[in-house]
Amino acid sequence: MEKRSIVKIPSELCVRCRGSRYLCGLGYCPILVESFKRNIVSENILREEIKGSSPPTVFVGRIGYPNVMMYPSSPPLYGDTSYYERSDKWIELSLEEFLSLRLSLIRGGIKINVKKASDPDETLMKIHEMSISEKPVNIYMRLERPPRGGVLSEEIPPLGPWSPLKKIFIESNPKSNRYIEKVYYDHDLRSREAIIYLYSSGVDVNSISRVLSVGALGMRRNRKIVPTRWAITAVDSILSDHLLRSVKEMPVIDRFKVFIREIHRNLFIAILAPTKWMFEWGEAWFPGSTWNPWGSEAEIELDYEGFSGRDDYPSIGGCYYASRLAVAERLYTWRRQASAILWREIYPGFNIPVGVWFVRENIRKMLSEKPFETDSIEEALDYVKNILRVPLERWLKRSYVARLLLGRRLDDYLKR
Amino acid sequence: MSREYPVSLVFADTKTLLSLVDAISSLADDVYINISEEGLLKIIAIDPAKVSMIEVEFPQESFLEYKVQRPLRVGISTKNLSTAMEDVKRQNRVSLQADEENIEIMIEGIPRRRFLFRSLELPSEEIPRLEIEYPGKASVQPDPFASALSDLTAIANYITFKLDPNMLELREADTQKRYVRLTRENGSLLESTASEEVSADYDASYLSPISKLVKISTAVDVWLGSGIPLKLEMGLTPSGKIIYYLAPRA
Repeated sequence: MEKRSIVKIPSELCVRCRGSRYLCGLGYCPILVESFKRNIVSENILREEIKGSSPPTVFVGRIGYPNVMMYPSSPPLYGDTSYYERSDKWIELSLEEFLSLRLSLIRGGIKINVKKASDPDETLMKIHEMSISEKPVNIYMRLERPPRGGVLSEEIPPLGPWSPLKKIFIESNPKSNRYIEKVYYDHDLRSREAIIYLYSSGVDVNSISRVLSVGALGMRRNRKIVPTRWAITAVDSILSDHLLRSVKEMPVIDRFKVFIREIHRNLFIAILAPTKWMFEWGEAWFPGSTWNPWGSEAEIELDYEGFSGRDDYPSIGGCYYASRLAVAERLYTWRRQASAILWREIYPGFNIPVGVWFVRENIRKMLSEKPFETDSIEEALDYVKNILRVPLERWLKRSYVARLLLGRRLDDYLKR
Repeated sequence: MSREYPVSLVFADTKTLLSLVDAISSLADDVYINISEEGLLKIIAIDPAKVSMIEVEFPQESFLEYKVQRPLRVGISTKNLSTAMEDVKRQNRVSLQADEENIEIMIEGIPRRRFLFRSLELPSEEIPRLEIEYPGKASVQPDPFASALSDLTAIANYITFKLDPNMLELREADTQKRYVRLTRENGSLLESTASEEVSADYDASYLSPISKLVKISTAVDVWLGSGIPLKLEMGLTPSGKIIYYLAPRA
């Protein structure tokens, strides 16, 4: 079979680089990804029968809603595969390792109506059973044909090839997470409350969005299967709203704090300012990055909210809520409120969508580190000016929070 | 059991009230209401970044009923205010009753609705009191000024206000390409006190909610000076006024 690549990289560059210096300009080495993946999913494994330990992973597509595709997934290997679903561990991996890991998750797909969650059949019961497990579950999937394809999306982590599912068998005893089990069997608890309860009990956001997605939460009659990308954003949004309700009543931080993180050809910058809660999330996509492959200059997209929050969905998408959750968590830990300027620059070479976890986890990590502190917004901006590749003036023109902090205020004209 | 409130008011003009709540809600999170025994209700709202401030004065004539046993100062979140005013029609009667702790808003329509809110804690810091000397004031026709504001705020990030003895010009600040001129010749400028040209840039997102208020006003005065806050004074029917301040671009 002819192998095709979407990027044309001169062979002599690969020979010279050998996956170590990224001479091709990409943020990862496509040859390494392919070879890592092949170690796990060799051609002879891509057959009609898949056996392995599901982390557990279940993906729900959104096309055709309310009749959607649901894919229980597993790598074709046994053992502790929980790291396939641990986004907090993914940021410690190289992009090659991460991609090869996720792309080796093989999916068995069934078409299902979202309302089926209120009255699950045998297959959905099995999917629920594996989804609420806190440890990997050994599964055996009988597929209609050898799996193929894959998922790369801005909202969800990558996933490997798929095939229609004939039958799924659970081969080990799933060990249910007791908190998830509690809300799963509570048919009078609304999804929103269940999500907050799970989060407060220490269940990670990936597991929460998974159980929401498979239709395991909510009032019995209203239970619905939720496409994964919607579930991830819903969880980020509900939890950040929940935390911010308390944060907005806390005292403000005492100084400006600047955080910087550079990883995989991405730059994250956060400026937390000592005012009441405001928030903005901006992204600058350079030509040659995922969403600006043909542009001639960096394209900036930015969305924001004032103290009262917002009523509409931000045009920038799920990253907004993923970053908002990370900031809300940090402020909640400090028992302080602040206004937050969050900017991300995505450089050429980072040309694959990896999911909003990348934003959430990197901002969590960035905000856990020691910041540069100052007493004025001018000094804070001056500090980031030379780190940003997009001219600061361009950022300021789009910024909402920085503009408000910089702009003259009516205080300046107060009667003395 | 109904409460006894020291303040009980019935608004005469629901349409103005609706526009006002709409505009204030898009600018500020909270509003503070001062109600005096002498027959003056004053609303003050300032946005979280303290870039703009709105002051509204309703004299006794703006009410069908004005019963005030003692002066009162209460606060309410604009979210609550918008919730109460949602689906209110022009012909509905809106009344407000309050004491130091509670604010009750009653909508007399079909169905009759009653909203009870706890008064917000009033800020310990004083609301800014601005006393600025303005080198120029323009009296303009409300309609063309409202159109100019809504047209330019739809396309611009900042608007340059320029006033000279014969003209008030509003221009899109970044490209300087699109503009509207209110002049004596076209009848939209009634008076200008500027002896020389003054100009300043203002954030369009803070002006856009105001265009609706300009539209319902009977007269508009624009106070302007280079690099100082914009002041808009709008007259209301049957009486009362709205004053809006906006800090200039840095």
